[in-house]
Amino acid sequence: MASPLDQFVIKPIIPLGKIGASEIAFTNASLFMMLVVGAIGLFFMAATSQRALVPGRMQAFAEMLYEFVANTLKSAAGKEGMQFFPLVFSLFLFVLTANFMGMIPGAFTVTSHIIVTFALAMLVFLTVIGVGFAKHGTHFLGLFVPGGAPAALVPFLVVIEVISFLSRPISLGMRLFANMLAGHIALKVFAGFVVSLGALGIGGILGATLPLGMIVALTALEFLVAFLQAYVFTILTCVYLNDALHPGH
Amino acid sequence: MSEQNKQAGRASAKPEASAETELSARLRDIDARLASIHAERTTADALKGVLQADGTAMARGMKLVSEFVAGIAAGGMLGWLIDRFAGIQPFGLLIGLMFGFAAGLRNLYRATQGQSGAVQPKAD
Repeated sequence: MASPLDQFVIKPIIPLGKIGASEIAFTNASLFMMLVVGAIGLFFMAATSQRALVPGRMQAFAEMLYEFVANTLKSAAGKEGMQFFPLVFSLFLFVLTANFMGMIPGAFTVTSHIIVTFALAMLVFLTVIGVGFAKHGTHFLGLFVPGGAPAALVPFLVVIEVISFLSRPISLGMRLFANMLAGHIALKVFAGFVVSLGALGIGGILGATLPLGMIVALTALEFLVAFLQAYVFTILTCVYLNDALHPGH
Repeated sequence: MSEQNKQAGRASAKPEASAETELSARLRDIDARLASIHAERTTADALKGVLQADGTAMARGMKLVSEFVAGIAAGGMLGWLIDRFAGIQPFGLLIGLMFGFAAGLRNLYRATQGQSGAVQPKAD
């Protein structure tokens, strides 16, 4: 029986040489990231090629996606938040498509690797810091000073708030990664039960219907999680951008 | 409701015995079919409820755990970095972990309060 972790192994496809001691290669992770971006690009090119006043099915879907993200961003970060729409929309589509593409049997799930989700989270985090300082200067640091605290406690609270702020990209990246990893491992573990029970003869095959039913239920749940985690990632991005745009509110 | 139907049917079908048995047989049939539909529906509802509760509870738990652990990790990392650069070996990590714990609790509090900003709105 294959290990349930085999699906996460990164395999080099085209070796590109070495930088120092680390091998640089075009891997299956790179391939699937390119597939995700390619799928998004192709979908939107096809969906927007008509540019009809009355949208067709694909154009309507593309418009729904746009409005869904735009409304999320507007409600979390206000009208000024719309200047970050390209970033937020790209992040949402990338995470959503990567999650859904991972649900295809045999496909590699890009978002089940913490370095990918952490890189996305750091992108958001550094954007927030950059925008915060560019727009508000040192006033942005007011984010770390809680109002109405006794003066003796303020240094401690500032340290705690700074650490809490630094923990944001960690929790943002870890949540998406942990959800995708756990879901895919659970699916593979139950699938493994089916195979090993099925090898035990007629009684085993009858018993194997139970984990098989479980896989069907888990697959449905995983589709829900795939969408939900992309949405959570997006909404937290919007909330953090709101902090950069309006610190102290 | 089916019980009432049965009684009503029995009352109206008194004159002829054969008609009564036929009617009661049909009523029983309807009763059984209704019961099976009802059972099907409740099990489907229960299954859906379990799946939903499991999914959202799991998501919620995962969210809170990641908030808490991220706080400790960030504090620990910060302390470890201070250790590395200031050369005060264990103390930076120890104090960093403690502050990280506090920050993790702060994250948890904020997550359960449904608050997103780093600080509560100032009274100004």
